[in-house]
Amino acid sequence: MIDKLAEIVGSENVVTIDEALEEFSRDHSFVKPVKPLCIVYPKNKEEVKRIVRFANEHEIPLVPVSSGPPHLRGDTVPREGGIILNFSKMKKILKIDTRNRTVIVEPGVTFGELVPELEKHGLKLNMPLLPRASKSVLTSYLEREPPLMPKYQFDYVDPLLTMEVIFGTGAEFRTGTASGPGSLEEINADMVNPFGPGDVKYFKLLSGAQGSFGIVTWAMVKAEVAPKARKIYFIPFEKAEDTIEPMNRLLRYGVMGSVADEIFALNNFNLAVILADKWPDDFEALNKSLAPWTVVLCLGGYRRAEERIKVQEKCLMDIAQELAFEPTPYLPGAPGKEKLLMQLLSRPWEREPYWKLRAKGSCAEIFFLAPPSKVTQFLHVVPEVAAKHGCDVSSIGGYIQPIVQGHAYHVEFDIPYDLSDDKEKEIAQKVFMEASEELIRLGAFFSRPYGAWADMVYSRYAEGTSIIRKLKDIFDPKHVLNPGVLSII
Amino acid sequence: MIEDVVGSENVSDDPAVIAAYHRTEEGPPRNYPPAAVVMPKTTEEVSAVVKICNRYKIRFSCFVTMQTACTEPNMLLFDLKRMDRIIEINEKDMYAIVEPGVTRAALAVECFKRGLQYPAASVVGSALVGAIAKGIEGHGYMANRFSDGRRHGLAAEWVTPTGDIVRLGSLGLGAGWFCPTGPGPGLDGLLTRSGMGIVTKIAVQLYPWWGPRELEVETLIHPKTDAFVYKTRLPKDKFKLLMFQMPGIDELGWEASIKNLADALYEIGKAEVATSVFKYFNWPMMIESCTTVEEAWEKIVSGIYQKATSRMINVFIEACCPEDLEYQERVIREIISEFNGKEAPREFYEDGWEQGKTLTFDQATISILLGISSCRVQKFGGFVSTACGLDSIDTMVRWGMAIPEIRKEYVEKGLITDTLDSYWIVPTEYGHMACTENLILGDPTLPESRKAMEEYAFKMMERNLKERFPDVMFRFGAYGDETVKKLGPLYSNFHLWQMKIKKAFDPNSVANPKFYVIPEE
Amino acid sequence: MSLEKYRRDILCCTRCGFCKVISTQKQKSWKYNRACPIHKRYGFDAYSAQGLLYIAHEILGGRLNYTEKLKEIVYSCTTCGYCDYACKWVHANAEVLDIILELRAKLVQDGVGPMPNHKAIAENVALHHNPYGKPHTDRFKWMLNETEPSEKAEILYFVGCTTAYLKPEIAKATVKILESAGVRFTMLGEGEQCCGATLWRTGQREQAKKLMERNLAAIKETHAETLLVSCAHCYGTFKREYPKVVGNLDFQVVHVSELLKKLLEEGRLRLTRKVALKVVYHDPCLLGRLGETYIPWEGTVKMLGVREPPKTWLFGSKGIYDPPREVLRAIPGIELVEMERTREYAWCCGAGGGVLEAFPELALWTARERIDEAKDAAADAIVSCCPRCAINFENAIKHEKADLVYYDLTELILKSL
Repeated sequence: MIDKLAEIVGSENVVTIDEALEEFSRDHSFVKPVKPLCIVYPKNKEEVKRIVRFANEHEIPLVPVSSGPPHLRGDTVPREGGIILNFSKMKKILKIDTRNRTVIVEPGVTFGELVPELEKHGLKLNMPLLPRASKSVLTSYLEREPPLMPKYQFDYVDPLLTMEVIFGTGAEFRTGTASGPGSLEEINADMVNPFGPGDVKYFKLLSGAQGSFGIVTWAMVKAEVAPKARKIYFIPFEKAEDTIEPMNRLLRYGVMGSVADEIFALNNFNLAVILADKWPDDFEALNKSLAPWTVVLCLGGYRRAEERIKVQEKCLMDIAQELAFEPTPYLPGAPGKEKLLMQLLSRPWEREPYWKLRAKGSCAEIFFLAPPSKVTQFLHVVPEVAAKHGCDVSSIGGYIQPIVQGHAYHVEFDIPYDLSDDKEKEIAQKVFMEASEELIRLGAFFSRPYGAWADMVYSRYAEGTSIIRKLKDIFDPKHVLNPGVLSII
Repeated sequence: MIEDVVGSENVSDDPAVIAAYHRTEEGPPRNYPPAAVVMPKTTEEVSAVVKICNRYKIRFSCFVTMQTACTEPNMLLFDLKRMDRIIEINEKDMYAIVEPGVTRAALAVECFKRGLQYPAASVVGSALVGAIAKGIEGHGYMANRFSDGRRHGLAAEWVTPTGDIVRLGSLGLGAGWFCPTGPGPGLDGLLTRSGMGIVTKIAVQLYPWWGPRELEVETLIHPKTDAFVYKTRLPKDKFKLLMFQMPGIDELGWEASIKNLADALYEIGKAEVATSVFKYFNWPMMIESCTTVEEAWEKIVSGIYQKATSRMINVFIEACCPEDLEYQERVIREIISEFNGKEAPREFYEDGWEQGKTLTFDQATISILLGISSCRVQKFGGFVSTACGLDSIDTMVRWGMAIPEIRKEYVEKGLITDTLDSYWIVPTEYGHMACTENLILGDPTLPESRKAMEEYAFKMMERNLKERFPDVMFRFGAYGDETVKKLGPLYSNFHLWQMKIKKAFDPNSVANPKFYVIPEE
Repeated sequence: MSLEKYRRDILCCTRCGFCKVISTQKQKSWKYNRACPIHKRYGFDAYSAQGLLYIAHEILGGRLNYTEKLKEIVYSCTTCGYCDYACKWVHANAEVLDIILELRAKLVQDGVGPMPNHKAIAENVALHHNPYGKPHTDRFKWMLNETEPSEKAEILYFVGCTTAYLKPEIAKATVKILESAGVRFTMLGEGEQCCGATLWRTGQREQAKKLMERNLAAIKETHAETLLVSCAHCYGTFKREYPKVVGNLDFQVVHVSELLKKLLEEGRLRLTRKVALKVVYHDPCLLGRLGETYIPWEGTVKMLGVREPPKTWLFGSKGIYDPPREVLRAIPGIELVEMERTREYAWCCGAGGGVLEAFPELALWTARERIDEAKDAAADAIVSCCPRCAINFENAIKHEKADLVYYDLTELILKSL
């Protein structure tokens, strides 16, 4: 097998060293470690196709990995062994289209590589919160990571546009207006429409599938105009619940219906982790001084930039007055850190370790979606379950992100723990499992069912399970693509 | 058996009943009379009837506004208008749960009352919201800010082609109606018009509305024709309609003028202003302001509209406060001026109606808000549409370049009307995408004109293919299995995947297969 | 006239759906967004103007045979004309209501129509000069003890069958009002026969035509300049249908509400007694959107349906909407509120087009929808100007056990005199 793979990608691109295999056998999630057979580094689509066909012939699982470590969610752990398909060498930025504000990237292109390139063209990405620099841009959007600027998100799959994918059969396919007519060179379009071809919205089927239907070999995502002027504001709150209504209102008011570009809420723990320079001193001081929760919002100016910001400020104050909160351009509890935060929000996380791992070296994330009317019903669960298991609740990171123009919220709790401490790990896992079950029971929507969530979710969703299985049998009849990652396929 | 499910008064195979669902002139491959029409009231009834269809291998289709729906003979047609409830309008979460028979206008009106708006597509206000679930969205006038129906569908209750009731999205996990996608893969990607069963409930995304809870509508009587003219009064400090004349075809020529206009559209998109912005086709715009066919004809013949509106940009601003309106207006005017455009004369607005010069009354506003223009442009009794699939503004511009040449012979023969520029470009999502449509104005009641219109449309399609433009099939779905199988290889063999999906979900091939793709045996 | 003449108009239907729902800008709620009674009641598209036009198309093409169902569909329409107004507002190149009436005439001509109860009407009219089969001699029974009309006068009060036989209180009120205002009027007395409304609207053209000619002659003989009616059915028939058959009328047709308005403005009527009521006003179809004078057109239809010479379309804008409202507002104590579907886009009462006779259950259902709308407007009473509306509403109120009363406009005026 190794020889065959070497024939396809070159021997230098097939790794069997134990140390490397160990690294890919596990991640920071609670998914059981399984060692892959080897790691393969394809360089182009043709190699990917051949590998997929090979995998079909020999019924060997393939697990696509596009980002550098750390991996937190279990989607890169091979459930049934097999080959890690590492895309770190497929890292071309294929096209930056400034007129249509799109960028086409191969899976190995990271935020660290792409963001500065786009900056040169006066563009920005609607980024998630501080992705690690080694995070694959393509994967982030394909897996529907919540972006910071809800105003640009017209639905849950936005800003993902067209894609080229190799299905589990080895067949090549392109979605939307990239599909044709004819070859990529022939198509007389800018390929920005993600819908179709025909009646099926393939891009939706592929999104959130954790690579189990097809392997995306390039994707086009939207970029946006970088603002000519920015101004950051903060609104401190005592309780998480109190952040919701202000954020709701700020996404239903303002120029084009949104006062803010970036808007989200962090608790003091997460904000301190992000802002701390020296560890642990800075962190501890910030953790104490920052408000329990802070809503962060950036106003952006484009044409007539200062005028726009002025109007947005006026709108912000209108809402503030009505809801009796006080936005301030100074970060309460950390004055002077405003500029740093603004800079951080425009870039991926470049330091080591990744910010979520700064506190203890590992982290269990619990995240889900909820509509504005129900968010507050879920906010107590993780802290309560954590307290029940003797966790220090004040050491749990909290993050609330409005998405899709304020139609929903991504709610996230990050439970740091020391990977080398078995007891801590056990507690973190207990909290993770119990809180997740409770949240699902209460109606929180785990739309991205990573790791153990897959079982929790699909065991409750028989009709959806049956559909996913049908689709799996169509796109990957031999079940070679990341088998087991969604637990049901 | 179907009578047992829905009641005898809600199913009929009487020829007189059938006649209303089919018109003989619109022949194959897309229009046959149904064998029977059934009107279920509940999801359970839909499911039960679909199961009967599976048992007896009866092919079924689903009726949609303005389009007849049976693609082959002897089909059972579902007319879902009895399923017309607005089940909930959730103000906090900004969505409405509707049954497929709810009309767009009815939903829009109920939304306004609650400080929300439902950005209707250009398809008529009488059109069914449930069409969203089918992927028939129409072009959204307000797509610049809200996108259009493609994005608006949330969680849904779906009766599959085998009659199973499936809840999609967050609904499937009992988490409510707010999210269509997940858990895991976005299964809402399967929803489409009747080829994949019937959506019996869907939540649609709503947006904030800063206007009056009840629209103030003044009734005027046209001084010449005595027709009713309804003027909707919106607060002037938050809503504004602007029309701009960009350098026209006479000034710059067809190509340069449209490219200049496109540049302006791109800039407006990047500036993130204007709830609604679009290049409008000139004859439908003119129709908006006319009350009779004769009035419209006078205007066509006068040439005023062709000259004055050969390159126009319509902008509609919805602002949350006066400062917002003023800012957006300044930005838009600045951009227009950069591209050498100017505001249309006041007489093009309602000021000019007594002189017969008005381009709008307030119809543009209300068409934008409630989506009625599509029926008003039917004033001449119909048109034929040809289009390009949704893509970028530039793609729409390139696509439109063929229009003057292809239309020439038909205009010279007097078979279609010389309305110069009859295609529009509607930017979507801050100008990230756009759609277009060319409305060919002829007289469909005259066989030679109808033939000419269809030929023209066919030539545009052929040229689409030849020059590798994304085909309109993205908008209207498959043209029927033969055409699709021919074109499929050009589009990543999508037809093969669609066939497999079809076979998996519709093993008995009963759910309008000819409007999807019939699976190969 | 023949259905063939409308072939082009029929093809103009693009299935936009506006004949079925309230004009978009005028919709105020989901609850009251429907406009076509039969479409709402039965659901199938055949029960709508669009459906009827498609049926007409198939009949013209020889592709549809007559069946009982077809007949039922064609005759269930109340001919309220909402579709006519709506289609013209949108399209203005099709005579939708005329097509429906023509379709009925064709059914009669081909021996298929009308409905049995409509045939009975024709027989009654032939024998007794009224659709109800009551003795002609009883037509003016209500006049006992009332003011005698003048022999000759400028105003000829045409009572109408429904008023005379079924709602005489309207006639009594009208006459008392005229007397109170010192208005001289004459009447046809025994010379008055049915205006022909229901005959015409059920497609029984031959008989209707003869009746119209006969009535015209009788009216002419009186040398009256103004034909005064208190019935909307008569009003709409004289104004919109008579000219199609007998040409221009050389007298004015005036509804009592118009006269009342004039009398109030001239101070000839003094309303002093308070009538404490919250009312809604129901616009009768044949007074409102169908209350315009028919304007014949001859010419050619060119490409795109352009008429040459230009055709004057009847949009319904010159119907009678305001006079009854102004009159109501002049009555002390009356609070006038509006229902959602009003004026040119009002919901039909359900009694028109022969539906009251052929499909009483449908007529009742339609009226009950309207009663609900009146209740939602928090009205104590529903007021209108048509005895057929009156009968149907009173029936519906009874069935609903609604806390609502029906008044004719003249009755309220009388209360206030």
